[in-house]
Amino acid sequence: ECPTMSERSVMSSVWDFVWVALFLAVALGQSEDPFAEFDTDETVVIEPDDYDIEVENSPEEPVAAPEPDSLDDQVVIEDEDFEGINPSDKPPSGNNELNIVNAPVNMKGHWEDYYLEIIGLIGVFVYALNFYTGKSINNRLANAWFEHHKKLLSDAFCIVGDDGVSKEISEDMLVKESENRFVLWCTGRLGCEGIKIEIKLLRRQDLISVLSQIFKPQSDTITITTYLSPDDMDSVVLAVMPRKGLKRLQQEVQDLAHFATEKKTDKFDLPSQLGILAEFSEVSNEFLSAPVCKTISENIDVFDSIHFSDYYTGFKISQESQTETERPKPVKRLIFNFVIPGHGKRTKSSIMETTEPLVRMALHMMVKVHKFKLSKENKNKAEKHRIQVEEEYLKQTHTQRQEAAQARRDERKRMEKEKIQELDPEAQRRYEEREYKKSMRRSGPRVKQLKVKTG
Amino acid sequence: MVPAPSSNDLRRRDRIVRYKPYVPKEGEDPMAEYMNLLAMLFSMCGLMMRFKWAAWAAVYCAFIGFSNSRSSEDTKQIFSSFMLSISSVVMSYLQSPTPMAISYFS
Repeated sequence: ECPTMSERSVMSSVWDFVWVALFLAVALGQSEDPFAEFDTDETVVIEPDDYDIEVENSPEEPVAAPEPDSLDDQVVIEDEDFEGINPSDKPPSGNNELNIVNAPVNMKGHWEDYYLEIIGLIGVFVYALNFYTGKSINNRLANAWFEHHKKLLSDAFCIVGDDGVSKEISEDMLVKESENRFVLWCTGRLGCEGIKIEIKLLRRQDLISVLSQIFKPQSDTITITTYLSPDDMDSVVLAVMPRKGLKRLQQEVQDLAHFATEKKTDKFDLPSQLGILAEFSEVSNEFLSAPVCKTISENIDVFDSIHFSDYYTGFKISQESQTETERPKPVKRLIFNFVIPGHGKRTKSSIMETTEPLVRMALHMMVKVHKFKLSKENKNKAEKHRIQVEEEYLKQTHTQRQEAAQARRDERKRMEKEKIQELDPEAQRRYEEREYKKSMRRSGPRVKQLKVKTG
Repeated sequence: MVPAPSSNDLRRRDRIVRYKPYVPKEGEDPMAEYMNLLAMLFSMCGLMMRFKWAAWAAVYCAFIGFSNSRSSEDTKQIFSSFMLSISSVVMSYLQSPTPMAISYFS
């Protein structure tokens, strides 16, 4: 069992407690009816069997109030009912109307009416069943991917699987972010700070997502994000992605929008459905070498997209959240997106091995990125691009920073005024004088203080 | 096949960087948050107005919220939404043990 199950074992103990509470609740519902002794005697003597057959004669009908006189002659007064009352005393004949006690429904023998509750319970049970099976499938798939790629990764990185929580560096820890997302951090390699491998599986543990999968099939994805330090990479912007989403992504991803332009793909023997965005064709020629293109075209059903960027700032901030003054700081990233074929239907562990050639290619390209140096004039052009974008960004947020500063100043002034109100009038007057003097001095003529050195 | 990474070993012990666990922002996972909120609402409604269907819906929403939650989330919140929904089911049946079918479809 993988050690990350520890926090889940806490959860399963919680689970058992929950189930006990649930069954307790249902059991409570059937307990003996507490108001049994209030069953008023039916005036009409009902044989037990017809009681069962006619359902509409069910007891919760309010007991019809019998007319007062018919009650007197039929009521049979047993002696023990009136022990301690002297027999000569006649029952007070004045108030003999019956006060109707609305006793709750007698629940015995009516299980078939609870069909909705039974359906509810079965639904919860089915959901729980699907939860456990989905969870185990996801765990098995994630561990299968990790076991299969461990050799390849441990040859390339000193540390594979650090969870970042324990004090000293841990090993072989597949971090479980949720029931369907797992993260593996590998570090300790020339040319990069580390790579974060995110295994994003389908939500097999949630029945609703399983049902929505039927209408809108998605697939499990593996995303490898390489974290690069500033000097690990020259100014490169390159993206290879399906043509379908290319236009939309070019607007949404900020660095692609600023720097990248679409390049022709006939030079490379890439599958036709892939489009290329790059800053300079020199970059695409360098990285889309023959072996890389061959690997991509051989594993086209697993390959999704590549995105190299030294000015990565994530997706464009949508307009209404423009108030966020600073966007994320530009960082250097290589992003590889792979897809597990089969749209989530094939859940055999061997399906997770299809990404190995592409992971090997990713490592190979990381080495090339580290070694790559842009040519002189492209380098200058790229620098100019970035400075221009930086200035444009500063100009755009300048106005916002201005407003923010103004708002802060007003805020401070308002706070001071409030403070003054609390003071007694005498202190207020002194404060206003000081304010007046200060503003006079600020607006008065600029007098330079001359220090005359004597002697 | 792409040639294996260059023969000389590229592993560097000095370039090890610890993993900073990713702290998800608010709007990251709408499904779990909505489901927990719905569970709370339904169980309140089930407790106050004794709607049995609301109590049952609360149990379902709590369960869905639990299955979609991130493990980094504290289990207390999930546990409390579960307890609330189960208590609303129990209360609504204790107060009026009439089956749900009778009160609506008879």
